[in-house]
Amino acid sequence: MIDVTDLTKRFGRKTAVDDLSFSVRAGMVTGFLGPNGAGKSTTMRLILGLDRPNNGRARVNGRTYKSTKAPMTEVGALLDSKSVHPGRTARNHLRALAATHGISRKRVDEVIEMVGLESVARKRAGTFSPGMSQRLGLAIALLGDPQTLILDEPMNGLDPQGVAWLRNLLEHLSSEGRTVFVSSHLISEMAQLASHLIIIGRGQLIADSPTAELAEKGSGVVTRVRSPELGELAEAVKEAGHTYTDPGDGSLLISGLTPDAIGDEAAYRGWAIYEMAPVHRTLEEIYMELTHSVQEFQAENSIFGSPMRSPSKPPVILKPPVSMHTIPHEAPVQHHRRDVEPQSLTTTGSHRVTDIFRDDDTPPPDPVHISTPHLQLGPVRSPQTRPGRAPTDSIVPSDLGPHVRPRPMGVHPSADSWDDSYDDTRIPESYDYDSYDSDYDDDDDYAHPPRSRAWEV
Amino acid sequence: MARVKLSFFRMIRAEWIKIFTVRSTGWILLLCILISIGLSAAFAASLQYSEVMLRRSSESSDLDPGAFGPLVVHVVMACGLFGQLFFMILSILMITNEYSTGTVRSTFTVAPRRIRVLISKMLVLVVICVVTFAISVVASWAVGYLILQNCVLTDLTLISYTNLRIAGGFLAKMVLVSLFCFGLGAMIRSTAGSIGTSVAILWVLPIIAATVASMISGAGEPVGWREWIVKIGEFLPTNAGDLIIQENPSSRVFLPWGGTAALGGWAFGSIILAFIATARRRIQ
Repeated sequence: MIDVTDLTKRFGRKTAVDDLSFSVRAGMVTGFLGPNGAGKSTTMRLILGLDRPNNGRARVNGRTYKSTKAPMTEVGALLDSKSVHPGRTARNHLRALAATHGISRKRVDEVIEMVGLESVARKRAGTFSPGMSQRLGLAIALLGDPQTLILDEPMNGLDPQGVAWLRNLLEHLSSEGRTVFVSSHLISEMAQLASHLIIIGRGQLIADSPTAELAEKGSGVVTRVRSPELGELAEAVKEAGHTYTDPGDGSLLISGLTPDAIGDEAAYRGWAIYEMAPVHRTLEEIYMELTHSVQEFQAENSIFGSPMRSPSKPPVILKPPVSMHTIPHEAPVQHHRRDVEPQSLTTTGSHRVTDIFRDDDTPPPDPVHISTPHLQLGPVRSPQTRPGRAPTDSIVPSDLGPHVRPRPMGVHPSADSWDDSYDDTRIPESYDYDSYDSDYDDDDDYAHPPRSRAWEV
Repeated sequence: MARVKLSFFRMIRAEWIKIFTVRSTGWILLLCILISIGLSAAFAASLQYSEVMLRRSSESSDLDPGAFGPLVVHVVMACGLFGQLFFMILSILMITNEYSTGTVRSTFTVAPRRIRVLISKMLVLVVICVVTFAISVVASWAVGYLILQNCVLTDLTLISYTNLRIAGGFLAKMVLVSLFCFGLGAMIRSTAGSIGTSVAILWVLPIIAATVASMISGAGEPVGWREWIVKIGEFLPTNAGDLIIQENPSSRVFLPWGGTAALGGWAFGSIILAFIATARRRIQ
């Protein structure tokens, strides 16, 4: 059990860890995520007493790390696998560390076998490949059979078997009741392995919630449909007051309606459905959204565009909430960072799906008025209408997030094979193109993608 | 010993394992002993040669035994010449290697009480120092004895108050110099920087003091600021420590054991500063 309370660490003027508070519970694997430079390694070092905080405290099993009688049996830490003396053999390295606690030679050999280093145990550590060094680091962490494991990027350098082995090992250890605290950049691994996630950015807590909750909150209901009658389907969805997006591959991404509802309506109307499946947002996408505004290092003006947005993707409007569960105090607004407003990750308003598609002939009700009218858009807007916007940006309902791809630039909607009858007359005359939401305006950081891409010149 | 627990004795044992599982340690100690023996043999041979020359050029009755001084002094000089260098490097490497390889992170994670870690390193260093120099002094003396068996002008005894004082004082001097360098290494953390600084303090500063001492305008004692520099020079670790190994030490300031005490002061100061620095430091 690790308890971090109001932990603050400043290096000169830079605050590496800013008033961080969280708890890592026993019996499960807790993932520690965050962009580079967010303060993950600093936090771990503060927990282990390698550094002293300016404020706050970090306790392991209720006590400071320094005051534990047998630190290796309380906490096993892997901070940097390359910190071994290259001239010493792996076995001697483990022997020296084991000797501090009186751990037997048998245990040393046992741990070497556990991590799979028996064949190279008597070789000098300087000759190890990164995967072997990583295993040695893990061996050091596991040497004392610790109650708590603190691992900083343990899967770095491991081959896929190694990653799978480590995943199983950590799951096994956590099921024994130990506390496992893992920081990693492999989000897909973390999605599988961690049952609780702590996300930090720029030293501050961004999210602290179970993985399932995070994934669920980020998703909402999105269904991907492929059908020969996509046009009619789109019409129906629009009339029902839901939104859809066309990713340009002959399918539609409909938000707000489950596959069941769409299937029912399709059966009623006699449409053929070639493919229909719910779309789940990956944890990676949710994480990217949450941490987009707190990226420390971001490549700018590369020819591939910003890594967060490729040319055809819209800017991400979604602002990360400060914490996804209630915290006792309001998140403080710092003068040096942009305001972060808590915002729900749910998508458009809730509609009971059965209300919309009826099986009698009554006309569908008026579209439910959604509080964010800009989301109710149909086709891709002409790019020239807004001065100052790069032509490749298109307007897409923001709740669908970056995985939704609008039609690529330059392709007229009517070029799609499935709907030759598309024409601009569908857009009502009164439609005011310039009434587009000012959300894009206010956020200069999001609204203007880099302009130096070669083809834009 | 049964329960798995961090204890001071176990930390000492861990440091022992650490220092002897690195190849460089073995080489340093071996070279130290071999070079001491070799140099001592060379000194003994030159003493023998001098005696032979002296005997040829004058009559035997003019020479009194022991005129060249005790053998132990030459032995100690032979051992100390390079031994000091080797042990300076060893003591600095003991601590700076950890910082340069990053092992210090696991060391201080496994044993979070940092001062105890430093003390256990120092104890191991002292033991290694004493044992190695004891071996090299005795072995060098034995070699010198064998070479100078028939010579009279050198006092060949080992067991006498003066000679034991010289030998024992030499051991103390080596230990204190090693501890001083260890403290420097723990403070500076970089191998090259520590070695440079300790070479400067141990060998370059005395040269400056000696140069000033020799800048005597006219015969006699240096006066004025030169005198002050020379007096301060007496306090330098090497100069103060050297008093103990001289048969008839001449010093403006110290008695022989006083010199060792001054050297001890240097070592103590460096270690205290190292403790403070390490305890407060951020381990990167």
